[in-house]
Amino acid sequence: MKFQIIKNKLLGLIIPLILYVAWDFLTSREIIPPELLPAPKVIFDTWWDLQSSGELALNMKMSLLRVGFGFLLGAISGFLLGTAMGLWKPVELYLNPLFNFFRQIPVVAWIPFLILWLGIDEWFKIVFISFGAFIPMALKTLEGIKGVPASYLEVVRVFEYGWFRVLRTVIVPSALPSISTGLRLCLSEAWMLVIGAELVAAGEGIGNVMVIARRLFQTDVVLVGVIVIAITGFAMDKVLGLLETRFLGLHRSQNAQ
Amino acid sequence: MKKIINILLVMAVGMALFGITPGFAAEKVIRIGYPGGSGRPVSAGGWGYVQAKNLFEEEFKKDGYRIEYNYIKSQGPGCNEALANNSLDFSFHGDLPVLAGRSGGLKIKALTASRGGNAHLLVPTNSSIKTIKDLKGKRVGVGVGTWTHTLLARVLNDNGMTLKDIKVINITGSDFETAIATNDIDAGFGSRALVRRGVAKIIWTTVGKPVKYQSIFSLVVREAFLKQHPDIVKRFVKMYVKGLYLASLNKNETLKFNTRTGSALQDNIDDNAGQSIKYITAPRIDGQVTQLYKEVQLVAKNNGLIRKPFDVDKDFIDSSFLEAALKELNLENHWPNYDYNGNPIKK
Repeated sequence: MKFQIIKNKLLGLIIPLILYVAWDFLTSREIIPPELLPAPKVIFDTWWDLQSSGELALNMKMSLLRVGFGFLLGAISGFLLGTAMGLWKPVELYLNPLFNFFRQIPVVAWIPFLILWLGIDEWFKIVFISFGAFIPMALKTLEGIKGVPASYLEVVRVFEYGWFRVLRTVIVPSALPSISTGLRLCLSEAWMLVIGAELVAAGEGIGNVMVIARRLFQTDVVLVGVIVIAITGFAMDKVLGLLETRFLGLHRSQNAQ
Repeated sequence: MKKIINILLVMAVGMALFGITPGFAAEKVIRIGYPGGSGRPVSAGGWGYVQAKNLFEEEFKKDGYRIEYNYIKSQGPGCNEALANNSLDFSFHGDLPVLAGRSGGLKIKALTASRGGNAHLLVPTNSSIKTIKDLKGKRVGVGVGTWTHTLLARVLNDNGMTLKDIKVINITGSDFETAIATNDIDAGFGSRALVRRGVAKIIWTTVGKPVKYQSIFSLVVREAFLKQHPDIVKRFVKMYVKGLYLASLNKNETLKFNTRTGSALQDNIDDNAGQSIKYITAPRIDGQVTQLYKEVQLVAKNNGLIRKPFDVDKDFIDSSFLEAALKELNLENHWPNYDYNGNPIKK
């Protein structure tokens, strides 16, 4: 059993490994010109440079702060809307069509207006990120609450539970998995969008490092940026995933008893 | 069997369409890039005469080459990218982008250079900013990676500041002009056209300052193109020098001619006050140019704009085409070499 899990994990590493070897081979022999794709060693050296000079940390801090604020703003407002629509039918009837209309708009399409309204400073980035984070959160919360099995509600009606007790013992526990999926989607969306926002306009941040590096023809720095973004996004999702299994796993097993 | 015949048929038709038709068979074109994005998509000075007199078109007609002029909105950095992906053969752009490109591994050679370009530090007309020192903490618009980026670093350094003391906003061309008019940025390097339109005033200018603040623009060629077509490069440089020669004959005429780009005559006169026409048309990569290249590279390095400095003298400059052209055109003594301060070196 354990062996099977390790084997499955290793299988996922085969293609990245092949790609890495091909990348190393093609770039070290300059079959692909280094100005178009720098070699892995160059990337590592550049990463170390940026890391040891503190440049990377400073810019990551800015990006993560933006993600944090945008994520909180988006997740909380998304949760509130989703909950309201899920619990009160009139709210759903009034707001769901508008929400469905709103969520068809790609967040990047808001950029011109957001810049017009908020300028190009921090508020623009935070609101932009929160727009993107808001949608999956509201959607998944609504879905979670709507998905509470009718039989459960039947049972609590028979037992004549108060509304708070219904919420605490039935609705929240059964909506939680969907809400936590919403959180993960929302965080990964926030991380994608911070890069987008910084590519448009920023003073600091990892996206901005890439814009400047591109204009200064530092292909290696751009690629380091891409890799750092990927690793950060991956790590953030993993952490949320771990938290989910830890708390929700517990919750689920309690629920089952 | 029928399937194979069908496939062969399709391939034959495809080859007939794409292989033999002259339009598709590696079209012969020479592609030249310039930083653009504001003003009209035509050039001033030597390049302007080359264009106006169709010098390249005439020269390369017999070989069947078409000439393509590209004005690239993302300016020098955009020229670098276009050179990297083989969309340009030649380009004429500023000192920082050329050096940054080369430092980033872009395979280009500098064939000629021109000096004496000016820039003015502008603020909106109603701004309270009066000196460079007032820029601290302000939003300064600059084309990141263009020659005014190092210029900005330089004037800040002169005043005990660095690029980190201001907010650098990456903006170029007409976007810059709009942003300064709407007060979205507090300052930035631009042309006198904005002062003429009443939206900006000048708080600092390269005019009348030591020549180290002025721009060096270089004609660069893709190394692969140079290796493949040394003959084309030779004739190309010769025609360009011809254009420079025409531009160098009469300063008043040339400044008037330069208004074709959309600049005002009086602005051209003000910008070039005190500079001889020989100076602003001189093409040699002489001691002055290489010294200024080195200085720009050092400023760029100190401000984190170039990460890997390289030896400017070695492996980057190729003056042989220019010298051959000057000789063929009997212009070897038409332009002097200049020293660091921009004074002609007497032979």
